[in-house]
Amino acid sequence: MSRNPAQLVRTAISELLVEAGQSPDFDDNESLFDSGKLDSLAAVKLLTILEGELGIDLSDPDFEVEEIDTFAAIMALASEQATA
Amino acid sequence: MTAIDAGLRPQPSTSLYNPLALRRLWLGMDRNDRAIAWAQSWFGIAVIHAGLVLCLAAIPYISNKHLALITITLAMTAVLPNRRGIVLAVMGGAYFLLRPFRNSTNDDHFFGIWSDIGFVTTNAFAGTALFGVAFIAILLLLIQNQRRKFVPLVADRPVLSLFILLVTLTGITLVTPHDSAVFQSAWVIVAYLASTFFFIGYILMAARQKKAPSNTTLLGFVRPVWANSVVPIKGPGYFAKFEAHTPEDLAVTRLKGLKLAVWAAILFWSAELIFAHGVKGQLGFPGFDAVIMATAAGEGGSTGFNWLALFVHFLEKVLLVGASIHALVALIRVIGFGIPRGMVSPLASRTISEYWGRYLFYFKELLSDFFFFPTFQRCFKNYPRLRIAFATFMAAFVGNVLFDMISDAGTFGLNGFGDTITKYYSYTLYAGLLTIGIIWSQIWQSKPRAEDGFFRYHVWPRVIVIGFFAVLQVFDDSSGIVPFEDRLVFFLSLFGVA
Repeated sequence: MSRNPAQLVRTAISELLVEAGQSPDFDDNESLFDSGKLDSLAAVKLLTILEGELGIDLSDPDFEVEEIDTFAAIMALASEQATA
Repeated sequence: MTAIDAGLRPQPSTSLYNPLALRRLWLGMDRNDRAIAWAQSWFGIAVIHAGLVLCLAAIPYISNKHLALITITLAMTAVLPNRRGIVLAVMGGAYFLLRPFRNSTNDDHFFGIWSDIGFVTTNAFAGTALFGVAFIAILLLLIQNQRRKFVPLVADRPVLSLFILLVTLTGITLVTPHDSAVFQSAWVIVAYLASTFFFIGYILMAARQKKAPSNTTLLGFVRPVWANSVVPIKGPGYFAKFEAHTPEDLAVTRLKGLKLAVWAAILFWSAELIFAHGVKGQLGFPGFDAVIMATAAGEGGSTGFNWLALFVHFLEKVLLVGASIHALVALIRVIGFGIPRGMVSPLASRTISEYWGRYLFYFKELLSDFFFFPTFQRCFKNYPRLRIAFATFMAAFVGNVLFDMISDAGTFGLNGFGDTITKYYSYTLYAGLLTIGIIWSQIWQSKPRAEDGFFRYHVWPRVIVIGFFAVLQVFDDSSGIVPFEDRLVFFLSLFGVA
């Protein structure tokens, strides 16, 4: 992995926001999916990136999609799985 | 823009006699400091709540009894905004105990068999309340199991476990005589579970979250006071994110709610005036079902007439469904949860999957939460396109059809499997076509770009999307009132096939 995870996730979210016709800027605790800013297809793209680039295990029974609703939550999930 | 440009540019009029200026003021009131301050005063709170109730009364989707319950709840949350969770639990609990089924067939059957059961009391309303209390007690055990994992298998797969229970009990109602105690016991549980299945699903999902809501909050979502159908508007975990915690946030949320309630009333009465009174009343245009049956009987109009009937029905439905979902979201906002709208300009969509998300946002969310993401997390990880396609199939087809069947599970035991399943032929084809459309849209449909030109950006994609969803309306039905064969004949007639 060449880029740092936070930068990679931030860039991915910004690109998805632009693709959805939104401003690329977002706050760390801003709701991305529950607020309707991004749709489920964007969630799929983000999940694929999280799986492929950060190695997040989506098949964990305790994983809920709501855990990727904000940038801060994604980073918390990534660090939690990294230390597990 | 320079200061000189700004000086020369005509400024928007703020005159109250200018309808456009009034519209601007109205739409911007949740960002207007004076309006926000007014909305925090007792007078403002009273006006907003009265305005909401008037708008809800003007839209006849909500029965008078339900409106009375809503009005009492609104009064209590207005007086006790910091006790919102308890108010919702108490009023939602009362709603659930009094009207557990949200289905008149099940109501009638329960009242009919209650005299046979006659446990403790012969009063049928007391009977529903007794069963309701027992049901809530079992639900509390399930919630505790989610928190503590006493039975890990159920805690890890709570919705699947509920589904297996529902299918087993429905199977029992199909094979046992109607007058047996086994049938009656199984049917009552099926009827209770069917009307609350996805509400409970969201509750159990919220109960396993790291910051799980309290039991009181969770119980307010078994049958939230705003629920007038079996489609939940997400669950307690989601609402927690949108709850207003300060007087200013609450004022903004309430103003947004009032705006949406007025918009819902406008949409509803526009549909009534244009379609019910104008097109059907004054012009004598027949209803959509009548056109389908006439075509099937060989007495229909031309192909052009059938297309016209299809688009009239489609546009009327979009307006009425929009009014209905806006009214509920408006109510939720005035209670204090600033959730997003349930429908956002669907006719402006440029792709099929975009329309699907914009038209019925919360139903799409339900299918995503219970079917799409669980499948996506587990299946075909090494095949990206197949992975998306299969997860979409599980949501838009399997989940879509199952949702209707689960909600109608009590009917299987009452009317038999064959008679009940016949109703779903049409809806199954609808879900199949919808699934093909969404999968195609997600994987292959290119999103139009502004540089493609006016026609290819603004017009053609919308013609495709609106045409696709309009044609789908032919099969979007699980009532079974118009036979599937008639719908098929009408569908073929649209393409000149007699």
